[in-house]
Amino acid sequence: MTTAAPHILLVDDDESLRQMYNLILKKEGFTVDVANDGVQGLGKARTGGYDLVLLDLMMPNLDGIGMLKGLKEEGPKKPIGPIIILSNAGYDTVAKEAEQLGAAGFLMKADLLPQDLIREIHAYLDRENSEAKAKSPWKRGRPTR
Amino acid sequence: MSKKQSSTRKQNIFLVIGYFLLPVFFAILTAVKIFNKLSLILPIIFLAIFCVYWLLPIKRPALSVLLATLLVISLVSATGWFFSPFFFALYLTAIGLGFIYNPVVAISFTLSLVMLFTFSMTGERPTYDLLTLLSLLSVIPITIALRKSFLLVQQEKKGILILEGEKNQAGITSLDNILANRINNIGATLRQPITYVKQAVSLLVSGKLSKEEVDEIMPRMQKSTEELFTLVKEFERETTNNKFFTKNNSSNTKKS
Repeated sequence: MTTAAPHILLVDDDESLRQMYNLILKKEGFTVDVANDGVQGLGKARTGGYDLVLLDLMMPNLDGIGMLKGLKEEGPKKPIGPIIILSNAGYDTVAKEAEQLGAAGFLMKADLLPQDLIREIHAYLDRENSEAKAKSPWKRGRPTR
Repeated sequence: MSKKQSSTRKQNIFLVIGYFLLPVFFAILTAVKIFNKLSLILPIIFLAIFCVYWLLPIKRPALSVLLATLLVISLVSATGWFFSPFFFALYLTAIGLGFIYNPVVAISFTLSLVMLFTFSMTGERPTYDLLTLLSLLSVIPITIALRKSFLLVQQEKKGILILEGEKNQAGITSLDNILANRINNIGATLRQPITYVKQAVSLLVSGKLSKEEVDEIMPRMQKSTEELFTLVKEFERETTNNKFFTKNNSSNTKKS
């Protein structure tokens, strides 16, 4: 079992929030990679190797749904963990479509304090880790807290 | 399915059936001898009702559309249906219904007219009949195409968000949905700077930040609050069309 810090891909076009989440996640000990739109995010996600992806919905060039579609068309080279929608756009239809396209969850930015976000991320990582363990004994392990 | 969706669906079914039956009702009225004379004065009655209704201070959009449709059909039926000089108004009504409600209502109305026309075909002028039939049917793709273009133009003009996932539904999205999208978009945009301030305050209160981090966050917090005020101003300006919010004027005093 690896002890390396979980690697998170943060895809958000809002510079202030991107910097804020980057700070929050780094303070918690995560390794963070950022992308400022869907095109950049898709490129990085396709490279793979992330334990979790935080994905915004409303972005220029390619929005969150477009990025999920892109990933569905051409998957990552290395496995990636759950993709969590982290957005302030609370559209039922879009949330549903994101789920259908493979998003593991939907988090409303405005509802979360930093500690809530960290708790949610750990919950997703733990769930992913236990599912991976149950599925296949040789699938890479997630760090334990 | 939520209660609201269920109610909207019922309303749509009612509209589709209602607007299908309206031309049929008038066709029967003009075909039956007893009511034949009545059909001649119906346009005048509906015109009078429409005028009175127009003068009322409160109007219900659905009733306005219904009265206008009744006036058009009664006028066309009284002046010879498919030979009526006002026949073009039926095309406009069908297109209008597609814009006001949704294309399914327009299709239902058009198919009702197609059905009535098919019954009235004598076979004496097959080319003319076929062309009239085709022109009636052409209303359906025209309505769908125009409405889709209209929605896309509105999206560009007013910044209405139709996300990737909703683009496919653009053809059947009602104006209510567009408005809901618009409100959602405004809500999402307003929540962005609030979220930043909320997160920043929480981090500042926790005392976990270094001096450099605090120095970095504070100006961004200030920027976010300013951004929030600007967004609220823009929202008010766009929705009310008032020009009293200027860059250097934060008061609500209207400039004359």
